[in-house]
Amino acid sequence: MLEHFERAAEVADEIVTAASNAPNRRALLAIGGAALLAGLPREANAQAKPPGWEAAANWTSPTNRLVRRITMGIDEVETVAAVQLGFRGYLERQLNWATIDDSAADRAVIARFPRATWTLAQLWDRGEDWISLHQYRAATVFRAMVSKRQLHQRMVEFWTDHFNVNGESVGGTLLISLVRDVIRKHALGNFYDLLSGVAHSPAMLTFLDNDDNSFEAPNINYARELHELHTVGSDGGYVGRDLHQAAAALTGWTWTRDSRSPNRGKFKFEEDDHKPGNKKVMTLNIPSGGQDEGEKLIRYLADHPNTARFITKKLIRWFLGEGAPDSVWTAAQTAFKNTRGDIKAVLRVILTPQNLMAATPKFKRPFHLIVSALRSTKASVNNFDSLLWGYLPRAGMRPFDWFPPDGFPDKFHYWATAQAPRMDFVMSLGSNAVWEVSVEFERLFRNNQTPVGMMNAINTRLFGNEMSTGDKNALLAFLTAKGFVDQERLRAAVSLAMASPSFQWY
Amino acid sequence: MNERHDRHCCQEYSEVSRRGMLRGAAVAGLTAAIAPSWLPKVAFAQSGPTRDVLISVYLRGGADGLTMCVPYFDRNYYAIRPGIAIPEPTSNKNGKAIDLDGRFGLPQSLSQLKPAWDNGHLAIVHAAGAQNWSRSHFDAQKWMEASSRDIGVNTGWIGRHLASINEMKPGSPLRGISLTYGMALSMNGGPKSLPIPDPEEFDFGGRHRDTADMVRWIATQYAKVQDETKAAVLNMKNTMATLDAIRFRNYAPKGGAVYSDDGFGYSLKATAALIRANIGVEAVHIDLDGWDTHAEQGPIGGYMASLMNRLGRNLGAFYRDLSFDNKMGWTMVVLSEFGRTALENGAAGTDHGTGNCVFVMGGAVNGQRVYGRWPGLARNQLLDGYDLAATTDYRAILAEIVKKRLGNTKLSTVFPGYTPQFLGIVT
Repeated sequence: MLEHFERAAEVADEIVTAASNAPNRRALLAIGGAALLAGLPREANAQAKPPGWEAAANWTSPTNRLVRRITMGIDEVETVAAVQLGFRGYLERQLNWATIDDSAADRAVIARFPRATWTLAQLWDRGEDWISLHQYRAATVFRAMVSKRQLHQRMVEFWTDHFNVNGESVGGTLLISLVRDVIRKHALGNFYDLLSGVAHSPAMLTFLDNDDNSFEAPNINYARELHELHTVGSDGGYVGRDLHQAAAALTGWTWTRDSRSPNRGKFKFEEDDHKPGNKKVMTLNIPSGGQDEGEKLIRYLADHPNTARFITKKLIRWFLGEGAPDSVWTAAQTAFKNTRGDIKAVLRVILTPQNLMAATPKFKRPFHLIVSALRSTKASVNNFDSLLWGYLPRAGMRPFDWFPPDGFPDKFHYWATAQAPRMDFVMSLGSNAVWEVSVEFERLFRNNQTPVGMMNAINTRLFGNEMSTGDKNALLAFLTAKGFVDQERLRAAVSLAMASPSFQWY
Repeated sequence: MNERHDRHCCQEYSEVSRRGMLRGAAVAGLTAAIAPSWLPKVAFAQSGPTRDVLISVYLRGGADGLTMCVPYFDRNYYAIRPGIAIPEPTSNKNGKAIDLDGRFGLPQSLSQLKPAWDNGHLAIVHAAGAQNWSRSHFDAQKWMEASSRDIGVNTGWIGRHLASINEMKPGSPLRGISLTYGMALSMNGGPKSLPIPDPEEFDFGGRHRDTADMVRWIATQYAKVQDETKAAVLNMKNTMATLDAIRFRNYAPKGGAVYSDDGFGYSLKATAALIRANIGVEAVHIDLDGWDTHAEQGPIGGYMASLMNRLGRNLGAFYRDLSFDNKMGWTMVVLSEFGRTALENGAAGTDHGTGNCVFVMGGAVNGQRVYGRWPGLARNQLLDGYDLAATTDYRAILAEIVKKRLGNTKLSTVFPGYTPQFLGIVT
């Protein structure tokens, strides 16, 4: 037991070391009155531990750390697979997502959410776009829950935020053609393919008004976000003039709206709307050349060192949280540049046992919390409506609902205070009060009649046996308090486990 | 809620609140006899000198201030907006402006703000904003709400205000309420501040037998952690009990005020109920989305007109409701991240700009006046050749409210690195 605590303390120390190296922390200390400005805990800054450290105190297994970070939540199948394959083996298996048999999920999607699998032309011709959007949302939650390609899911989520479009703004058909045919396809592929696919997607062209960007009426909305959000970042070295030049290079990039055309719903270049002439964006001279101007710009931005800088930083935050050392960032940028944007190569640099053990805990966003609760309790969801019309939007995170093009925030402080919808979901799931969603509490958690046995079942299924000691002891006390554990008490204990501080972090 | 009278948990946290409750219980009997059905059964004791309740309304997307407060006296306005200008008040065209002061006018869709204007309870600051910031929504919103461009600052101006002043009503569990799903950055960092999209529906949820036991367990576990979730969960528990006592759905507005039957209308109605219930809420934040009118702006009878109508109708209802019996202990400020280009674009819309108008409403407003230096709309007067310049820093407006109406003198904490020059908008 003592040994165990010492190891936990070591881990916590590593976490603290990592956090104190964080550039933002240094910046904070530089400002006067930093504690109040930054909303830090009242304790001295220098000793502050990262948020969530209590939940992570028992996270001693590297493979569990990997499972937490690259899946949508602990699940016994994945934790066992990670131990069997080893850290590297499990990571490689998840990176090579296409070789994982996911046919059960695919078949279920075809049966339950057929529109998620229709071709663009089918979706276009059948109309009723809101049904397509609804089915695609449901398929998105469903795959996050059950897909065996869990890292792929995490990356789809990442890029869906990175290249955010609002589902209701563009409609189901265009959204599906972006998320399914571009983002899912290239989520673990090459960044240039992803960027280029998005740039040619009617969903993005519509959402950021490039379909309105013409010679007569320039609209720089897409050109701006292409730089600020998609590639080099807001401090990426461009000025207003570059954005106007980039927008000019992208004039005429639009898509076919004519329902009689065989190319309906697809990209097209409208020569008449294109502004001819040479352009210059940052250091790139673009000779007058129609559609090719935009193509050159996309290639240039994908290869720009500030894109490597910006994208790797964001990926590091996605997988390692705040405060990873700069050396990881440097190595990730090198991998990005050396492979000209191979996403797997970058992830191999980021997802090492050393980096994960030192990483700060990450707070589950509402989508992650809900999906992880459904995974850990092996919930059957007969109908996704209660999630899609109730719990997810109330928690502020229904898929494709984020309106600004920057995607749902990956920031603890944004989500930390909205506890009510989180509690509401886990308390409802734990009392089988979510419509058409059910959990077999007795079968999963009453593996023998003792409170300790039930406690262990909860710890295994929800926490990979690494629940924090404080929450674990309190839960055991709850299970023993009445001298018996009836059905209701067991469900309550599982609800509390999901409501506990320990379950909020990954 | 079952937990309203639970006194067993989150010891150090709820102690103050519990005292407040007990004190309130003494007057509860009196209140119950005369109170309308929506009022809390447990009221807090009346205490001390009151400060205004701050209501922050944020128009997300960059609202077009040249439509919301029309500078009809500047002839260049009509030159640079041939397709989307609001006609001057003396025009015989459709959708002409309602004159305010011989220079500026309101669009017809904001006509319901006119009573507040006429009573001197509404002021407008024009050409306000932040100069040379960013035309990115995200940067501009973040910097404006944080009131700082420092990347390390993740608290908002309202949050820092609440953090740097004593509680208006000691013992209140809820000082700031953001009527949004996630916390508005403006209020981030505020003690006892929560995002609550619907104050009527605020509890731990589920259908458990042992709910009271469970809520106690949760509060005990969160009391032990050190991050933001601790205060959030403990506040939630205390707030639940307080809000549960207010029957929002039964709230009957006064003066014949009618709020629209949508989220924004409901938010303002709930705000009125919160103010009347007097539970110690000091700041309310409300969002209204959809102002990013790049194309087919429709300032008259179109898209933006209907959005303005929603805004004006509900602010008008709020004013009518609370001014009816002179419940004017509040100040409302309506902000947006930036104005839009003064030049209309090729799609009958406008793009991200700079200077904007800010509406300030309340009982202590020196109203019926448009404040600010007008920078002009001639080509050579426009910022970068296409924007209304910002001649008044938006922080000057907020700082004046914070100091004079919210009683907070620590302006350097609320607005770091900024020394305001007050315009005299409020008394």
